Amino acid sequence: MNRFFHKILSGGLVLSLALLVAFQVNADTLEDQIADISGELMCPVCEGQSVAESNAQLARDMRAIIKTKLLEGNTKEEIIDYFISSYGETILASPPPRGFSAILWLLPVLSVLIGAAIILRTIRSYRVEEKK
Amino acid sequence: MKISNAASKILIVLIIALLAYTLWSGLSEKGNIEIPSQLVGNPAPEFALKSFDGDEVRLSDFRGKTLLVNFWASWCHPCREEAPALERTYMSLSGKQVEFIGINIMDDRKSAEEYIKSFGGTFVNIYDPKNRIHLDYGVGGVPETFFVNPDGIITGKHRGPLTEKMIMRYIENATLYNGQSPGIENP
Repeated sequence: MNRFFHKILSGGLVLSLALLVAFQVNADTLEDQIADISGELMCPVCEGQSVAESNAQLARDMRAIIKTKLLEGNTKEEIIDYFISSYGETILASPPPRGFSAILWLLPVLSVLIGAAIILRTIRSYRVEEKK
Repeated sequence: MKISNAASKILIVLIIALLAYTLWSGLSEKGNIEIPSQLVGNPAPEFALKSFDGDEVRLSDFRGKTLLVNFWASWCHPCREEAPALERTYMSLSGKQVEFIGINIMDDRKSAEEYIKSFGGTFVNIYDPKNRIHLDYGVGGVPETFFVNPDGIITGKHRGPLTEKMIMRYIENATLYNGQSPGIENP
């Protein structure tokens, strides 16, 4: 009897803990998801601030819609697509590399490659001079 | 060694060309607050909201008419600037297949009602308590105005205050829009 009681108690404790963790994770997830999505969108009326960072009325409305849409069961991609469909790709904090933004993405890579080529060439020329 | 020199010259020319292009593109870009509307040429997002008179207003109820959808707020000075032009144009178009809808956003109801009273309010004005409809339309600020053709397609968008002349131009474009002619935006 004592053993049976022990098992029930342990089972109950494990279940309570699981529920507590599940609720905690769920609560965190919604806020995290709002922060995550709003961090990927630029506030259309602010200079260089994301929707997550801005306190403008429009940014607050956008965060509220993100929350509503998440609660309605929309995915992150669907919510971002919704904003792209009304504001265009310029709403994205990191727009896909196309046109001018492609150059911006390409420049750092090219700079590193060109820099590496210059360094290698300089080292090689020093070696040639040393051998001479 | 000769090939290496030629390669480095090409490299330098390429870098200069790339930098020049980057600079040119950057300078020719509009300010980052100017966001062109994705919606011009696409169906106007549907809404069903209550007017200040308490009637339910649906966008689809106006199918078959050319529409002007104006987003405004009572605290917005440019909105006050354009309000008389909207009122006069609406009156001059009465009896034609053109309707105006005002959508009050980011505002409190009492101030909005006073605003409508002071500017005539002959056309329908609606209130969005959930502050959602302006996001469906990609509105950045007020005033912003959309022009919708009789098939429900957005044919024009204007940021800032409108004059009677501008309104007539947008309406004419919306009436003539056939899906192939381009939409207009802040001409």
